[in-house]
Amino acid sequence: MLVSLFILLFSLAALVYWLRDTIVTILDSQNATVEAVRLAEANRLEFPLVRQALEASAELGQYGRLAESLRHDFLALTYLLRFAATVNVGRYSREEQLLVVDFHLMRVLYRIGGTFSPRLARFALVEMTAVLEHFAGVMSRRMSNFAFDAMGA
Amino acid sequence: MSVIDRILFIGCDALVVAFVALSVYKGRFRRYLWLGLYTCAILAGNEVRRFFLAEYGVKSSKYFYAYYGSDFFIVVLKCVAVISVFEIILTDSPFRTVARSAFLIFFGLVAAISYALISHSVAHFYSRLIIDFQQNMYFVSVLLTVLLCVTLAHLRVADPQLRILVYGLGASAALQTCNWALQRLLPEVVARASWGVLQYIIPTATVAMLSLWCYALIRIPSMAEAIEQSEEPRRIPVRSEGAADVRNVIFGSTLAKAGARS
Repeated sequence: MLVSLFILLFSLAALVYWLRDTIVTILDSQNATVEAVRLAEANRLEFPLVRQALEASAELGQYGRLAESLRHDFLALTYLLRFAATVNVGRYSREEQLLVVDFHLMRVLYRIGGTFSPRLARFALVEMTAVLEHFAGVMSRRMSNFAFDAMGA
Repeated sequence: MSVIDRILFIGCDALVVAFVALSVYKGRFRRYLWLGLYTCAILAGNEVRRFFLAEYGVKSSKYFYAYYGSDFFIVVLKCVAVISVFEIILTDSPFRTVARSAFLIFFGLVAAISYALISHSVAHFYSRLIIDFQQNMYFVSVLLTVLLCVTLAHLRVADPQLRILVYGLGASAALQTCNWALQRLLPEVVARASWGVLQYIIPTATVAMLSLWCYALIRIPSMAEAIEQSEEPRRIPVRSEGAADVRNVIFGSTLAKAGARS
């Protein structure tokens, strides 16, 4: 009886979570990924191409160039995050701080993987690309809001 | 068979065909192969049940075995479909082998526990045990989907289409588990009285999941599609022309500064 009650409550909680997240994802995804990629193209960032190259199973020899491209994108995007269209000039939000730390950890992992395991190196590159995609999405939304505010003023 | 039953049956079958056709049309069939097989199993299960219902009647033991046998087969395929999504998102991960081993152990445990329960209660197989068993099997699929969501969040998988597919799978599994748990918890008299409502929960959950999946394939872009869309020429609406200009000016100057600093 207790087991069934636990299963019922757990499943109900999971159901509410999934329904909420489905709605949020549908609302967010209408433009978020497209916007992130467009922002990358408008600013000549290369992370979408890096993702494409990784999905097309790039060779180990190319990883160095891909990692370097990601590092450049990271520098550009983190600069934008700190100084473009923000009231907290020069600072990251807590979430961004965590992702920046994660990016640096993945760079370390990439270097270890580059020596010992190509698979690990590839995993690290994919993770670094995901962080940059998130940053680009944040910047895109922030810039859109800023632009509309500027037009309204 | 009532009108609602007919609508749910036909709706479910039509949605299965639509999902498979859409996944082939969009070139996602191989990627979502196990999801496609799971939907085909739903279709096959529906047809088997319909046949046994028409041939032997609702109270026959043959229909009983056909119903619960096909349901068991479908829920096992549901778990396999969830695991196939793990395979998709862990393709590049060094944890893929660990995850595979963990699933093998997990399924071994579930099979052992289920066997122990059934073999010790064969005399009561027709009683509430079958409800317990179904409830536990569906709960396994809920747990697997929860694990999948944790992995999606941890790896920050940026594919909204895949997320919607997973959420649909999870929501339907949770709804179906609630149904079995309610049947187990409610007193027999109340359960019989509310059977008119409870019997529609599982098919409704399946139809909702399939609708969501079709919607995801039609409207929600995958990461690859997002990249393709961004490469198409755009027509900027009059209202946002100013915004686009402002954005280019700001990004031009800030990136120039970033380049100067680095």
